[in-house]
Amino acid sequence: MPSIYINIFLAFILALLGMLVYRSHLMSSLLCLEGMMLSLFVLITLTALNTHFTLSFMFPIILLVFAACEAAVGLALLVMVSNTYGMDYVQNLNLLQC
Amino acid sequence: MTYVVFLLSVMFVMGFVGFSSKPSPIYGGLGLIVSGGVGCGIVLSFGGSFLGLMMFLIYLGGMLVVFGYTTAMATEEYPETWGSNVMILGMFVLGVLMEVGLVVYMVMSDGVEIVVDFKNMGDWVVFEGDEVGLIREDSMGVAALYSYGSWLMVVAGWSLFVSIFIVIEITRGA
Amino acid sequence: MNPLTLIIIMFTLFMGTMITVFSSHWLTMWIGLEMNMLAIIPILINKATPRSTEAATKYFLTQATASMILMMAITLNILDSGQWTLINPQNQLTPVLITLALIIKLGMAPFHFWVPEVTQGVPLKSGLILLTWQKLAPLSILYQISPSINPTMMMSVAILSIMVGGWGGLNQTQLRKILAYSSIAHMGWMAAIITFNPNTMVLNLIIYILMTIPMFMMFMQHSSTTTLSLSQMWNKNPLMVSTILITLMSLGGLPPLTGFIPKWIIIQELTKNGNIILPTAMAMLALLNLYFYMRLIYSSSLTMFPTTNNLKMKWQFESTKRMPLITPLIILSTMLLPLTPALSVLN
Repeated sequence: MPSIYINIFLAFILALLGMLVYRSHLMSSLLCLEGMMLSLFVLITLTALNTHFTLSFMFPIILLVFAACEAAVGLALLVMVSNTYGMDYVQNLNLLQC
Repeated sequence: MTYVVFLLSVMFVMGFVGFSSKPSPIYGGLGLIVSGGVGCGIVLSFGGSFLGLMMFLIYLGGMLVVFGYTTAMATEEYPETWGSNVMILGMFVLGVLMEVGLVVYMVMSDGVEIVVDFKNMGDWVVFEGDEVGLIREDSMGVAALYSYGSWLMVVAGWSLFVSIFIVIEITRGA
Repeated sequence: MNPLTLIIIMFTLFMGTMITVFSSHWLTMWIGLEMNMLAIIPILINKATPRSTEAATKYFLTQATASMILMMAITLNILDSGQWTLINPQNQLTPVLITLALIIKLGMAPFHFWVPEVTQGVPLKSGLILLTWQKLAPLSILYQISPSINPTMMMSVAILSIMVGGWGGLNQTQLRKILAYSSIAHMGWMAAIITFNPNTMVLNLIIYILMTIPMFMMFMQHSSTTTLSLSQMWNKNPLMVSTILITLMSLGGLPPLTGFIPKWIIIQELTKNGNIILPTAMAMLALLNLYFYMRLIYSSSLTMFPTTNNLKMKWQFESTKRMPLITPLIILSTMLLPLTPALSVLN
């Protein structure tokens, strides 16, 4: 695997680890989701460019579309959470724990 | 050229370390925007100028909206930077150490030479119709959404359409 | 929710699963999962309360992370093999990552923590969709890549899920949490058989859905979400109390009822493949599930809790909720065992 791929894979892992951290703002978690999407976009684009598979260039765009949908829904949930709790800390989401 | 792309990817990871250590969203958004710009640079230097442009315009445009929203929402008087908390600082240092280790390993084991070197010439494909000519590969591939991938586009368009309803339905909170 | 919006969102939910089930291309498969996940969020929230908002947020975060991991696995598969078609991946890393993502999506054992919390926070109707329909799409992917799943990993997940599903429900009084833990345990049974005989996994899924729908419908009929309100059902609808008894027994997998079919076939299949310890442990751990079902039965139909006189007057008010499907579903969920010989086509 070329080193660029390894670097982007490491970026994905970092964003995933950041996503799993249970602290700080919900907004930061959404940023980590966006970051995962960004690294996936770059990785798929590079794969398509390296394999010269012309029809697969539409996949990054589709990925971008769903990233947009996901970001929109995530932000709507963020708005609801911060309306309900006043802040958007993920530690506050503890009403339902058993 | 090879080393430029490699340095760009290192900067890409650094941006990721910036927001993955979860500082205040303002600084996190900054890290993501840096990564987006650098990622666009990587895609460009691999020859995908159209996709790089798409990414820069759409992704960074969308990101800027998120970023602006975040700055509007972050009512903290003292936002957390990377140095203001042991936890964040530790995670930041850990991420940087991971990247440095990876770079050292790759340079030591001559991994950098594997990097594909396109010399920024772009990818061209030959088309044949009434006449023979050259077109850019990536913009043609994306344009295939209108012909080969029409159903894919219908699904994607439907999802975007529905996500408006979903967002309104969530925030309405009836 | 506005009827038009509801139709659009329900259609998207339905089409998302259908796209995943019928596609042979990794990208469309991922698109289906994503549409499904986006469309369920407003259904989960339904009426915005702090609880439902929190449940939807937790569901969204876990599912979005899982789909990112799935997309990463797909991309690594393309880097390795260069094709997007859903044929069994040849390298080792991809099936493990895909299985991991789908385990998160299904809420199996090491990643099960969201299931009870999300189910507890949403209305009963949304909980029903969450525990039945949402399992179809990830399980269809698991079914299609089943030859390349790592059996050791899947077995560990299975046995862990059955344990968690048994032990987690022991201390609960909330019906939705109990049903969520029962879902985790059933997912464990499905995970145990998937590497040996995927068709049996489908059978188990169908029967699990058949048994969960009438349970939820009976709870919906009386709007009961706690053991306490279940214990006051006798003065409203005495027949349904004994029906709950039978259905819970079926959910626990006792012999003359439908729930015994998948357990029987799975244990038989595992034993045929030379596993002795694993099915023994699974059968033993199913007793834990049976224990807390039995406690529900005890408080609803075997004893009469002391109540005030006012509560005994509840029979005068007729229920306004009409559920015509509840009778055939109860019959299906309890009396299908004689059909077992017909299931020999599974082999």
